[in-house]
Amino acid sequence: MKLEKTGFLSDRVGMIWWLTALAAYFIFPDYRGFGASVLVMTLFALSFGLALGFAGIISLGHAMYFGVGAYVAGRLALAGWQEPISGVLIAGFVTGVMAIGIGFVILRLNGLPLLMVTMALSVIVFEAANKATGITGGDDGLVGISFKPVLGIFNWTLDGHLQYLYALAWLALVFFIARRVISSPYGLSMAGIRENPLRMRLLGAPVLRRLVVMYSLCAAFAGIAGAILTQNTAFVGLQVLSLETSVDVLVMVVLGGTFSLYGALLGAPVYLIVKYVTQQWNPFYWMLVIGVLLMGVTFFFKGGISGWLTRIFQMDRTE
Amino acid sequence: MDQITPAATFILLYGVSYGIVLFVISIGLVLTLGLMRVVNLAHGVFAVLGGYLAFNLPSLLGISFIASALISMVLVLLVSLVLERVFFRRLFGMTELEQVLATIGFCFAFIALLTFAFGPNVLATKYPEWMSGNFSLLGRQFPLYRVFVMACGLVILLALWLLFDHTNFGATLRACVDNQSMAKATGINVNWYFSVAFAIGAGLAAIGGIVGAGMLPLEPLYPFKHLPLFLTIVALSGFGNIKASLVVSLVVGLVDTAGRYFVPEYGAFTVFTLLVILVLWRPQGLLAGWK
Amino acid sequence: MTSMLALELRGLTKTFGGLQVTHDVHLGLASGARHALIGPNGAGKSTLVGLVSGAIEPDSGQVLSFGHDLTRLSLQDRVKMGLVRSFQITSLFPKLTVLENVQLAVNENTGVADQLWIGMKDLVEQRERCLEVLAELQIVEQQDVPVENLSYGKQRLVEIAIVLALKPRVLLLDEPAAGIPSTETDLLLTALHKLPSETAILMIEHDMKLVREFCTEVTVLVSGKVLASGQSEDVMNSQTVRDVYLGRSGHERFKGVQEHV
Repeated sequence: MKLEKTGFLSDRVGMIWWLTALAAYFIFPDYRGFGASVLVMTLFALSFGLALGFAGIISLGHAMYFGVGAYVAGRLALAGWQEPISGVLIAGFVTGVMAIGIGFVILRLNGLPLLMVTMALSVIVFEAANKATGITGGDDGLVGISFKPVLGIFNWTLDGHLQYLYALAWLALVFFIARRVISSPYGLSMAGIRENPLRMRLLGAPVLRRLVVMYSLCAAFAGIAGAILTQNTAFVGLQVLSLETSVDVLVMVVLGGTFSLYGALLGAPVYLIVKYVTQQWNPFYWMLVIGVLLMGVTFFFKGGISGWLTRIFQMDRTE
Repeated sequence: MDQITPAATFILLYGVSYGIVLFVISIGLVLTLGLMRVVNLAHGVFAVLGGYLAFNLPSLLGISFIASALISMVLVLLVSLVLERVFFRRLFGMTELEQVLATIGFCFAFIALLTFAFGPNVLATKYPEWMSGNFSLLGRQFPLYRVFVMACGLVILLALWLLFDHTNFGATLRACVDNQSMAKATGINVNWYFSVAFAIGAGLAAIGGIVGAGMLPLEPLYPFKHLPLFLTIVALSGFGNIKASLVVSLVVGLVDTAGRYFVPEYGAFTVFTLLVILVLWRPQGLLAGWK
Repeated sequence: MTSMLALELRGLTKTFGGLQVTHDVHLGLASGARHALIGPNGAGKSTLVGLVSGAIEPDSGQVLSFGHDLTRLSLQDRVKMGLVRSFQITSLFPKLTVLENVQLAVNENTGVADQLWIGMKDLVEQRERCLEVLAELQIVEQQDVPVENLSYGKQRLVEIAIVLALKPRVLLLDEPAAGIPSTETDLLLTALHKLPSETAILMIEHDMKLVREFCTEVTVLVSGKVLASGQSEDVMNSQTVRDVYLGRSGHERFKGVQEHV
C-alpha cells in the first residue's frame, strides 16, 4: 500500500476536499457543531490511518491516546490553564511520550498478538479511568470546563462557529505535517519497513526505533484530536477511551482506504454521516449498515473509497 | 484460617465453572485459528445464538429445558455449516487485517439482527428448578447452578478427550492441525475436516452460551462485549492448542474470580493485566506459532 | 598474508537439534578477494551465510572483520560495519519503485534515513547517487517501475544495486545467479564486475561458469566442514574435490570453460 504517491489523487481530490470542507461552513450554518465533531474525528482517523496504512501497525487501542489527550486538556482547563493552543500541544506531547514507552514494548509484536495487546491495554486504561472518578469524573465525566479565546481574539460560542474552523485549522496543520513526514527519507524508510522489515534490517535500519517514532507521532496526533474535542464541547466523557471508539476509527480508515492519507479524510465524514442518519431511524440499524459496509469493503472494495477513486481516475502505475 | 476455606472454596467453585464456560465457548475459536488460520472475531455469535434459542424454545414449543438446549445446539451447528460455506471459507486467503474487518462486520450485522429479533436488553434467563437453588458446604451457601456447569464441563471434556485421542476422526483432525500440507498430501480431505471442526466449535460455543448464561448474560451486544475475553484466551493458547486453551481458560476464570473477590474495585481488569504481563514477560511465547 | 583480513571466520560451529550443521569452519578473505563457496546441497552453505550475516548465532567460533569481532553484533550493526549480504531469493520492496528500493539503501548508508525533513540540496544529491548506481547496472529507464512488475532477471539486478549502494567492505552474495537462465548470466556478470575492487566478496554459487569467470579463490564445503580451500585452479584440480563433489562432468565443465578462455 503506497501513500501519497498517486499525485492525481492528492492534488485534485485533495483540493476538492478542502474546498468542500470550507464551503460546508458557509452552506450549512446549522450543522457547524456536528461538522466540528466530524472534523475532530477526521483528525483522529488521520492519526490512525498513518499508523495503520503507512506503518502497518494494526491496533485496536488507538482510542487510548485520543481519550488521554481529551482528559489532559480537560484537567488543564480545570486547573486554570485555559489557553487552548498550548493546551492542545501539551496534550499531544503527553500522549506522544506515553506512546514511546508503550511502543518500545509492544511493537516487537505484530498481527493478532499486537491487536490483542493494544485492545487489552485500551480496556485497562478505560477501566482505570472508570474507577479513577477523582481524576476523570467517572461516568459523569468532566464538566465546568471553559477556555480562553483562541489567540486571544476568537471567542468560544455555543453555535459551533469557532469550533468548526478551529478543528479545520488543526486538521490542515496535522495533514501538512503528515505529508512532509511521508515524503521525507524517514517516511520512505517506514514504507520499506512495511514492505519488508527483514530487508530493512539488512540495510542497517533500526526497525523498532523507527516504528516507535512513527507510533509516537500518531499517538500525539490522536491526543491532539482528543484535546480539540474537549475544547470544542467543553466536556470529556468515558466514551473517548472506549473500545467502540477504537473500532469506529478503524472502520473509518478502512472505509476511506489506507491507500492514501485522504482515506481518513474521506472515510471519517462518510462513516459519521451514515451513522448519524441511520441512528435517527433505529439505534441498532446503523450497526447493520456498518457491518455490511465492512464486509463489502473487505470482499469487494479493497482499498476503500480512495482506492476506488484512484481506480476511477486510472492512476494505477504500470510500466 | 476460618476465613480461608470458604473463600478458597468460593473462588474454586466460581472460578473453575467460569473457566469451563470460557473454555467451551473458545474451543471453536482456537480450532478455527489452528486449522483455517482464520481470525474469527464473530465467534461469539454462536454462543449467544445458542442461548437465545435455548431460552425461547421452551415457551414456543412447550419442551423441557434440556431438550431445548440440545435442539438449539444442533440448530446452531447447522447454521454454522451454512455460514462456513457461504462466508467464513472465503476468509481463508486474506490478510489478518481483512479477516479482522470482515468478521467484525459480520459481528455488527449479526448484533443488529439480534436486536431486531429480541430487543436491545439483556434476556432474563431462568434455569429449571432442579438446577437453581443452593446447597450448603462448609457453612456457606453455594448455587447448584455452578455445580451443574462443572458437571457439564466434565462431560464435555470427557467427550472431547474420547473424540480427539481415541477416534480416527480425532487423530486425523489433529494431523490436519499439525501439518496441513502433509495431511493434504496423504489424500485427506482437509476442507471437509475444516467444516466439521468449525461446526463442532460452533455447537460447543452454543452450549457454552446456554450453560453460561448465568455468568455471561445474554444480550445482542454479547459477541462484541466479550470479544476481548475470548481473544485473550485464544492469544494465550496459541494455534489450535486445545489443551493449552483449557489451562488458559481455567487460569483466566480463577484469576478473574479471585480478582473480583479480593479487589472488587478493580476486578474488571485483572484478566487484561494478566495478558499484558504475560506479553511483557514472554513476547516469544505469544509470537511462537504466529508469523 | 595481511594481518587485517576483511573477513575472517574462526572455528565456527553450529548445531541444530541433533544435527551438527557447521563444523569448525575457518576461512579468511583479504580486501578485494573474489572467493567462491561451493558444495553440494545441504552442505551447510546457507547456514554459514546466516552465521556470518548475523541471522544465526554460532555455538562457538568467531566472525571478524578488519580485526573487529562481529560475533555478538546484530544484523543491523554488522551492516553498519560494512558487512552486507544479498539474497538467494530476491528480497526487495515489492510495491516500491526501482529508484525507491535503491534510495532506501542509499539513505541508510549516508545516514539521512532518520531525517523527518530533507533539504532540496541534499535531496538532489541523494537522487544523484541512486541514479549513479542504477546507471552502473543499466536499469535507469525502469527507475519508476514498481519492482514487482519487473522480470526476475531485472529484479536480481535491483538486488545487486541495493547491495552496491550500501558500499560494503565485505559482501556475501548468496547464489546471485539463482533462477536466471544461463543465457542471461552475462548481464549479471557485468554487474558483478562493477563491484568495487577493494570489496571482499564471498559468493555462494552452483553455476560453475560464473565461479570460474568471477572468482580467484574457492572453498569447498561438504557436510558442514571445509574440504578444501585456496586458489581456484588448485582446488578445482584436486583429486579429493573431484571425487567428493565435482564428479567427472563437473570437473570437465570447469576445465571445458577454461579451455574456451
